[in-house]
Amino acid sequence: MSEEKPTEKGEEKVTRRGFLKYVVAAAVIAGAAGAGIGYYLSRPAAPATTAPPSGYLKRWPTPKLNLQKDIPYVCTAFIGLANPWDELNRIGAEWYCKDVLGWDMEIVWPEADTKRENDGVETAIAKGVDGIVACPLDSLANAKIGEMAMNADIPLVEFGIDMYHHWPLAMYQRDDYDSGKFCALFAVDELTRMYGKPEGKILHCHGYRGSMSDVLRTSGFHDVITKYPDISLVEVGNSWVATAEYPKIKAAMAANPDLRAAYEEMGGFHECVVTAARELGWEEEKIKDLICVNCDLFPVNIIGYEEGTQDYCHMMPTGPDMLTECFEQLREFWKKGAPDCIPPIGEKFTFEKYLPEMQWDAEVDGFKPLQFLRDPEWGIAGTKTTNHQYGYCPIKPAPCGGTATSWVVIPDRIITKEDYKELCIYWNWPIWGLQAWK
Amino acid sequence: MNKEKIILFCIDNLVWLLVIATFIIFSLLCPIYATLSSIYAILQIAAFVGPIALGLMLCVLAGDFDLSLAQIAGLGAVLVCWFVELSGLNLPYYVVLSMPFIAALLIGLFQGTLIGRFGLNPFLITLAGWIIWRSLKLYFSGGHYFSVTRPEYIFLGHARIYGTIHVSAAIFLAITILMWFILTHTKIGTWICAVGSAPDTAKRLGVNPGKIKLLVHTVAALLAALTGIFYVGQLRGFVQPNVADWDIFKAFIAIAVAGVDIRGGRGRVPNVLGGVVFYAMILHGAQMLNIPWPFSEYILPGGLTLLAVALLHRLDIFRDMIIARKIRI
Repeated sequence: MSEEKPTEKGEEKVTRRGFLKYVVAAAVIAGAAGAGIGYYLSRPAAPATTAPPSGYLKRWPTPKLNLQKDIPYVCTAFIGLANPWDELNRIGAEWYCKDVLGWDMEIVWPEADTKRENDGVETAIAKGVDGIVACPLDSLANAKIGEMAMNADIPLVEFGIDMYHHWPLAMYQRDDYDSGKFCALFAVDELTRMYGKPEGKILHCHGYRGSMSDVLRTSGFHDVITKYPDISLVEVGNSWVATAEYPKIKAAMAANPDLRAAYEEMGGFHECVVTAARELGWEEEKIKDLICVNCDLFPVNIIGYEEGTQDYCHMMPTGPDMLTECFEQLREFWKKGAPDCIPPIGEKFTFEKYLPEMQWDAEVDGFKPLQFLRDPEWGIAGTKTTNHQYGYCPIKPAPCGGTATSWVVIPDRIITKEDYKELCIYWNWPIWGLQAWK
Repeated sequence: MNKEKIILFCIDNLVWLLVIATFIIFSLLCPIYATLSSIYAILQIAAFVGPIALGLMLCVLAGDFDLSLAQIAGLGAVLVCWFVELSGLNLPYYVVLSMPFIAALLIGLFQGTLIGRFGLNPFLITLAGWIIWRSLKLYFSGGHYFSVTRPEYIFLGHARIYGTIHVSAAIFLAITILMWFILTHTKIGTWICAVGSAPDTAKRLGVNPGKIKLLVHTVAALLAALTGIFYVGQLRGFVQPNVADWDIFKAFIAIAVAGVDIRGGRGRVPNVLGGVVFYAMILHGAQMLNIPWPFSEYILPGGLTLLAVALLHRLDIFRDMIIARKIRI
């Protein structure tokens, strides 16, 4: 290669040496990326903390409402993610708050935008709401909701996701961790039944990594699976969008044709697994033999049950479960004030004691959604049964789990090791969910 | 063929060299990668990114952007499901399947008119479109997950030709060939590139840039609608409201790796095919190798795109200097 001098002053010269620079730069970047992968793979697991921080100082909101003569005006903030879970939350909230209790409600629907959620709540406070029920999109970004409520001296009850603020009166939480745990137990039992002992590869289809749901569902699953060294995991995925995850699941299944089970963190992932298996030419018998366990129950999973491809679903509470407790919690606060209205950390939660005015027989189209929660064993408050989560969820050691705030985990039903395999087809996804669907 | 021509050919088709290199590397690391089944899977991934990438390329060639294409695709998918499951109208399947195209046509004409006729900024207009069409998508879905299982609706996204290549991939390849022909063998193709590279000159030569922009935005929207119909079938009719939400980034990766000049006027359709296939190969290969997710999801595609773009930038200058005889090989 020979060069001529540029004809115009300042014109860019590209020489072989210049080229070499880019090759070297590319090699350096590739080396750094390789080193990064090596470091990532070799790093030790983060040590698990075993207990939440204690001694968090807080004050309580002042109960200012007189339920005898005032009609409560409540702000309810959802995550606005446009998925069935969130949609059912909204339907459940509107039904219970407006139709059953006759309260006024301001809805904040931020469409998964943390700032919009904060702004929406701020506007609602400015309008003069008496209480706030919120599912923060982000524990940190939406901690401002707690701050705003505290400054306005308004009670705040959370559901679904917690926040880094000590103002929430109580937190009603899904059983993501237990969902993962029971899915793992089922997979282990089935592997033992089918292959003599728990061994082989399990495909783990993740939701959005770092989201609380994914972290807890993963923790629950891994805590069981890691006890079985002959089980290896093939981990794939990073979103809650099945169409986006399908190619990845298919690639992982193509590379691992000896998979024995699939753990699906979201209902729609089952369709990905089955479609991918069929696309890859797996025989129907092999697809049915694949042990598919799932944290959700969507209509596609019911189809999976009917086809014989879905083996187990463990579902999480939605609208009629969580939102009703939140509103009743506010009612109890206005009646008794804090902290008498909430269960102390570690105490078994009973409706009779803490939410005695729950409208069990409230109907929607002839259906009584709350009947499914009616059980004296229902719910545990605080940390005694939930402190296992502190060790695994990076956002958990927040004030929310501190000395004062009650944190109530809602099981989708009372589950024991004896009955956890029962098909929960009666539960509110197919009934309440499909009604809302139509 | 002399040395200069070989170098120019390699520069112009760099993406295909990347495709070949990627294929060889992944095949060595994971032998299953080189099977026909794997290649079909790669082509299927490409078929879902491809039409949006082709549409985006058209807009970029004409000196514009269209950020809303992925949302138009998602809206198309949700519209089909809405008409089947929620509307209560029992419309024939061909009418339902034409709805995404009708919506896309209206959207394309609307955005194209604002950009071409009124000279509004394409980035801002299509960003607004991104928000509006996404909201419409969520509105029509109402938060529901759809399960449209009737075969006529899932055929295009799900079916395969005699158990080999997917129908969606075949359609994408056919469209690619058609678009290549139009851009290289017709006046319209020349006009599009002219408007993108030198709009004033094109205007003086009698080309109406406004009409060209209207055309490219409309065609791009129609291509996005086709992707939406593919999405209906991908998982046997299982469609979520957030379908295709971030696909525009995949399309941008594809056209960037393909060497389409983001300033307009320069880009080759076969290279966009190469860019889309390259993206699909990386996605597929990374999962097959079970590479940890931060690398397979973000660092690998992002880093490779960065490298490819930097390399292409230098090679573009190099090529121009060879062509201008400022450097002799």
